[in-house]
Amino acid sequence: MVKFAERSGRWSRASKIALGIIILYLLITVLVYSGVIAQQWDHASKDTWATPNYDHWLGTNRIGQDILDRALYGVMTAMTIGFGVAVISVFFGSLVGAVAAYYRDSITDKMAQFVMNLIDAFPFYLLVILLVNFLDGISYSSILAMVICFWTTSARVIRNEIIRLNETEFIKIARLLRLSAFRRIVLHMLPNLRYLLLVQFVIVFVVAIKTEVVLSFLGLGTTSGVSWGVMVAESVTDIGAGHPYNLIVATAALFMLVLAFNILLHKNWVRLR
Amino acid sequence: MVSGEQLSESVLLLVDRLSCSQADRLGRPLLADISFQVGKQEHTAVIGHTGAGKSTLLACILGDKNKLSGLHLTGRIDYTQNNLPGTTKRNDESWNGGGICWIPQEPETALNPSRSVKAQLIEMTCARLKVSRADAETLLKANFESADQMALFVVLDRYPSQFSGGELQRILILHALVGNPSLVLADEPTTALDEENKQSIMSLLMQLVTATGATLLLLSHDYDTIRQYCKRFICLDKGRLIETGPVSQLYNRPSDNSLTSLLRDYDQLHLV
Repeated sequence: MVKFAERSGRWSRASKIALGIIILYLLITVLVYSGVIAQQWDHASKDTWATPNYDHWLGTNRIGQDILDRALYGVMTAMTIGFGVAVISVFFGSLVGAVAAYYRDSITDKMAQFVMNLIDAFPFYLLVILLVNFLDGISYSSILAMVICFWTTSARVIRNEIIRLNETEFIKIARLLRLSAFRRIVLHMLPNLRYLLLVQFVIVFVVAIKTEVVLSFLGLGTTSGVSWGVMVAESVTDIGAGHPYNLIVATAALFMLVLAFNILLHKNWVRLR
Repeated sequence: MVSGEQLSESVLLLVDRLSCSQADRLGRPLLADISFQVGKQEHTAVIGHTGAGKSTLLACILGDKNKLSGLHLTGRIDYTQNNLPGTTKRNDESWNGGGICWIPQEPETALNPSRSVKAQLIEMTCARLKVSRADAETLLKANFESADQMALFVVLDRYPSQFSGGELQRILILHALVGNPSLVLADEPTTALDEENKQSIMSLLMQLVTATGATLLLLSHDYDTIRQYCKRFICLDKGRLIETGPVSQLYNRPSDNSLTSLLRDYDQLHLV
């Protein structure tokens, strides 16, 4: 059901909060990247397994590293991986989808379909783990592995939508009027694909962040920094010792980000169309 | 009609032994040996059951590559204004040049939902008449003004979904008649509309057609409209031309059984 606030074009309170959370995460990313905050994430103090206090607002882990700093650094890791994977796989997937739709039913199309089916036939966590192992040593190997697994959905969706659009009357008229390919694609195709692209982007973004957490938990994730997955993995020993802060902070940070994206998409998809 | 015959002054469109050998699902050719001519200002209706080949005929006259791709066509279509060389392997320049214009069946799908109506009308006018954007807008405005539809023109910046079906069809008719075309192809322009809109849109169309001195080729199932506005009719059935003549013949006794059944179906539908 479409609520009144959405129909009238105003932002609902939930979407405002969700947008606020995403902006906050972006801000944290920029601040961490530029070296303003969370620079102590690797520093091991003598104060191990501390409960929240004035020096360490969210406590410390087993070797005395500040959990708040690590969580903030994890924001940057998550945003980098989310954006990296989402941008590359949606772009690459759309490109393949567009080419497949343009050369519909040709050998190019069939090969693209075959490759997609092949990739999708594997359970994707297993494939990502396999690829990360295979690509070991390459920087950003986890991003690359995720892109290889995630581009297929975008390619399928975009291929089908372009085929559908190609059959619509207004595209036929554009062709009949011999509008240039540039005008047809940029003015007639892309505006009708933009909401699909955005939805794909958000879905891949969220799945990438969640996958990164699983990979880090399994010890296959980021090696150069810290991520929420690493924190969750650390908490396996923490919990037994009665120190749940690592787990709580990391999952809360992940939960808020995923929820914010989902709310933003769910509440505003009517507007997108 | 003799092949190779030059078009006389009064003939606007000549279709000579047009065939489309591609068979439909039932193994019949889409169009078989169709010959007729349309005189200047001799508004002609094309009637027939669904699947009779009306739309294919229209696509041939329009030179619509989308619909004709993969079809093998023989015969000749001549159109006075351009005097195109007489094969059906024509391009769509006649439509581009503004000589022939076309009004779609469903106005909602004919426009891109993601762009404003005005931008699309200007784009189409530019492409058809090869004029600048400013000129296209002036021409459009002049047409809306002369038809007393300025209330529609001032809100043209909106998106297609913000107009009703009747309004969109009115807009598309006003756009189609820009540049004084001599032949107006209307593919069941009122099918998707309600009874009230039908009347006003047909009268708007006829007002514009009369004002510009154009000729109307109307595909329709609505015999009341045809009796009211058209002078001649062409009846297609299973890809063949089965009868042609003045519309008054539709009142009297049509000679072909198929046409009789067509009219009986219509009357039964509308008397219930």
